[in-house]
Amino acid sequence: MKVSLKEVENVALLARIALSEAEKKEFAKDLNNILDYVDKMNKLDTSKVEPTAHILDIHNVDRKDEVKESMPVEEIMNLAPKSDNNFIVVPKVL
Amino acid sequence: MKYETVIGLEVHVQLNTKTKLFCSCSTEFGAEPNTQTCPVCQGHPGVLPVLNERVLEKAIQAGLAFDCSINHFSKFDRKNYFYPDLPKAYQISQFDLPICKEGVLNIHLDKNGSKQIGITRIHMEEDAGKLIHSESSQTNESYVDLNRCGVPLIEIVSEPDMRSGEEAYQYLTNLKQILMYVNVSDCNMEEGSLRCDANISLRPVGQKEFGTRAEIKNMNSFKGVQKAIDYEVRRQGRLLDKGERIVQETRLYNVDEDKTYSMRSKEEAHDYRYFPDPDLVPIVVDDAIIETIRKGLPELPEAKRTRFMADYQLSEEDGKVLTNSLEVAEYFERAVKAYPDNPKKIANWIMAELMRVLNEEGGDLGKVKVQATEIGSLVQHIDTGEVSGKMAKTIFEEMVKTGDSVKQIIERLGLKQVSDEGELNAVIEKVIQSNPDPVKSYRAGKEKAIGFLLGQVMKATKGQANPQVINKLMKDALSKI
Repeated sequence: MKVSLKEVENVALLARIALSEAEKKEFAKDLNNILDYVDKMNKLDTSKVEPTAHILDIHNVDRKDEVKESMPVEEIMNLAPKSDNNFIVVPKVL
Repeated sequence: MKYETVIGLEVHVQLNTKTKLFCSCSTEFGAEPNTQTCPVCQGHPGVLPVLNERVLEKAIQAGLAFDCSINHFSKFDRKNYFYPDLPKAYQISQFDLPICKEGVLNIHLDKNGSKQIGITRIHMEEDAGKLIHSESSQTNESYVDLNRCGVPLIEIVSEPDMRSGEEAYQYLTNLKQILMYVNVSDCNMEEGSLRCDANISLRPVGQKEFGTRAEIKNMNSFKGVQKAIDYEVRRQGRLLDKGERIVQETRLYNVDEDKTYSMRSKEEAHDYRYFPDPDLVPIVVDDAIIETIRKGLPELPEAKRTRFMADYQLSEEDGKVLTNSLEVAEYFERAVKAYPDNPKKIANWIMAELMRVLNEEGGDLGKVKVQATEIGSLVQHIDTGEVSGKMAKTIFEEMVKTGDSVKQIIERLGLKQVSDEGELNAVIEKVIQSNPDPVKSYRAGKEKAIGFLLGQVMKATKGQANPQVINKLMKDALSKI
C-alpha cells in the first residue's frame, strides 16, 4: 500500500472534503490502484520525451487589453449566500 | 557572536494594464466593491481564462530591464489553497517555467561602492480579492471585494544576496525606479501596486550554510522594510546568542511598535499541489519577439545618468537627481533642447526651483504649470543679460502661477533688463547731479556710498538696469568728476 489512510486524510483535509471511515478506505484503494498504474508507466523510457504542458498542440492564445463591461453587481450579490452593501459576506476568517 | 545577515526579497508588482490577467474586467483602482468582476474572475465553473497579451509583453519588458533571460517556453500552473479572497480555490501562477529567470540589479552603497544583486526569477500571476474583517466582536463576518481578483502581477524574486536593511532599501528603490522607467507599473505602495516580503536569516560569520529564515510581511513602505529587517536581525541575534533556535515561520511587521510578530501558523504545512493549468495553453516566445521588445525599451536610469554626465558636463550627483524619475529627466532634456548653451544652469534651475514646486504638487509633474521649454528660455534670457537673476526668480514664480511663457511675463510685468550703456549713462548723469552729498563722500574715500547711488539708478529705471553694467558705468562716471 503506497497511500496510507493518514495520507488520504491529509489530502481530504487540503481539499476540504469530509470522508467517512469507509470512504477513506475506498479512496486509499483507488489511489493505490492509480499509483500502481503510474508505476507501470514509469517503466517506459521517457528520456527522449518532453514533459507535456498541455494535451493540445497549440500555444499563445491571447486577447487584446481592452476593457469590456463587467457583470452587474446585483447579479453577483444574488449569487452570494449572504451580502451586505455590495460585499460578499463570509464567516470571519481572521 | 558575530553574525552575517542574509536577505532575499520577493516583490509583487501590479502591472499597469487596462484589464485583468485572464478576463476583460477593468483594473481601475478605487471602484465600488464587486463592480469590476465577471464569471471568469469570480471563479465560476466552466469559464475559460484567456491571457492578456499586454501582460506577457510587460513581464518580458521587466525581465529585459533586469537583464533576465526570457524562457522560450513558459506555462501557467495552479497553486491550490482555500481562502475567501480566492473564489476558484487556486491562484493561476507560474511554477517551474517562469517567463523570466537569472537577472541582475545593481545597487549603490555609500560606503562600499556598488554591488550586484541577483534576480532568481520573474513570473506572472493573478492577484487575489480584498477582505475586510468586521471589527465588532458580535458580528463574526468578513467582507469580500473581488475587484482586485485576477489583476495581473509579476513576482520578482531576488537571490539571497543582500546583507543589511540598507541594501534591501537600495534594492527596492532601484527596482521601483527601473519598473517606472519601463512603464510596467505605477509602483504605488499605498494602492498596493507594489508589495514586498523579506526572507531573513543569520549565520555565524564565515559559515557557508544559511541559517533558518523567517519571512516578514506587512511592510507598507521601503523604510518600513528596512526597519523590519533591522528589527528582525536584532531579534534573531538575541535568540542565537542565547543558544535558542530560529523557527521557520511567517512574521508580520507592526509599524507602530517597530516589531515583528509571529503569524500563528496553521497545523498543515503549505502544500500548494501545483499542476499545469489545463485551461491555459503554453506560451512560446521566440528571439524575434524578444528583440522587438528589447528595442522598444527606454534608456534605463544608469545609462541615462552616465550620458547626462558626459553630454551635459554634469556631476554624478546632478546626474542622479535629474534621472531619479524618467519624467524629470525628459523635462530636463526638453529644456536643454530649447536652449542647448547652458545645461548646467538649466540643471540648477530644475533641481532648486522646479523640484521645490514639484514637491509642493505632491510629485505630480503634470500639475506643474511651468513648461520645460520655458526653463530653457529663462536661462537664455539670463545668459544674454536680458533679465537679471532677481527678475528671473520673479518670472519663474509667475510661470508657476500662470504657466505663461517667459516672453509673455516679461511683457506683462515690464521686466526687461536695460543694459544699453547710452541709456544708462543718461540716468547715471542725472543721479550724480541730484545727489551731491553721496558723490562727495564717495570721492572722499567712502566707497560704500556708491550703493546709494546705484539704488537711485535702479529706482529711476524701475529695477530694470543691469546691475553689473551700472556698477561699472557709475564707477567710470565718478572717477571722471
